[in-house]
Amino acid sequence: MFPPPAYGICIACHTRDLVNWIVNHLFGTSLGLAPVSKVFPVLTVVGIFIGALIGAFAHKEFKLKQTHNPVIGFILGILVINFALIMGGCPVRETLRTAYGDIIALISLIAMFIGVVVASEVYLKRNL
Amino acid sequence: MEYLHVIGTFIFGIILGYLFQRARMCFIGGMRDFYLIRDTWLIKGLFGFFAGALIEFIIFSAVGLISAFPWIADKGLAPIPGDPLGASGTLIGHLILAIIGGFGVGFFSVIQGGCPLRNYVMAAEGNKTAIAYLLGLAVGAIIFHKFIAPLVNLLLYYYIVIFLVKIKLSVL
Repeated sequence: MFPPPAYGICIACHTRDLVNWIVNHLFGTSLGLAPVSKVFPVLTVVGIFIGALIGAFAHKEFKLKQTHNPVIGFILGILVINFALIMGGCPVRETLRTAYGDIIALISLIAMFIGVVVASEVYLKRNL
Repeated sequence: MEYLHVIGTFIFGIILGYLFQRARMCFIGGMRDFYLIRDTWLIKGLFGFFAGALIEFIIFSAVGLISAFPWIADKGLAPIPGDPLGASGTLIGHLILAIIGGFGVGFFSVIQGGCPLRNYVMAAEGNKTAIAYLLGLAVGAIIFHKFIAPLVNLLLYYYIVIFLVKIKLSVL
């Protein structure tokens, strides 16, 4: 079973594969996921979390803290994964796809930079 | 062999997670820092990631492990499968989705303070906002496949039908 091209690491898609596989098996639904994750999902995101946990503990950087209201963070999470899945990948996979030679992915990276510029202007500069 | 992808992604995930935590790698953060304060530390990570992927793809293509590389020479402008339109989508549809999706990800990630990858690392460092964000990602994935993906397909289908009808009317 081969994954789609440039699928090695994608936070949004791999989270989607993991969550939808669990939900499909618990509730018998048929939410969409990549064919490679049909039998058992890819575990990249779990690995990244554990790896980062090891790094944080090994260098004593683990500390419970809060940057802004977690409820806002929850809503932003829902928004970001929906926009990411609309374009077919998170920033990491868009970079991989661009390296693979996909012009649409390059355009989405440029659109992402414009989004960053607009948010910096209307949000960050007002709240700094 | 059937579970090779599970073991592979898990082990590489642990290595990458450790490296990303040490480098505080962030794709959105790189663009933001470059735009706001002309700091190139994080955007170097983006270009390094791109260069590494390119070299790997060239080597794998030469050995014969991957096909259709470079994509644009083989499949033209059609994107690599991934967005909800799939293979049946038109080029203009994929383009609209790429622009809307890219803009949305850039905009909301800046407000959150990092790309999804960075938020996994921040959650592992004990950031409660990032942990709530990860729960949002999980809920959002279900919402996307339940409601948004069918809606996108429907909207773009009608958009293209109207577009074609308009072209036909202007020709007539």
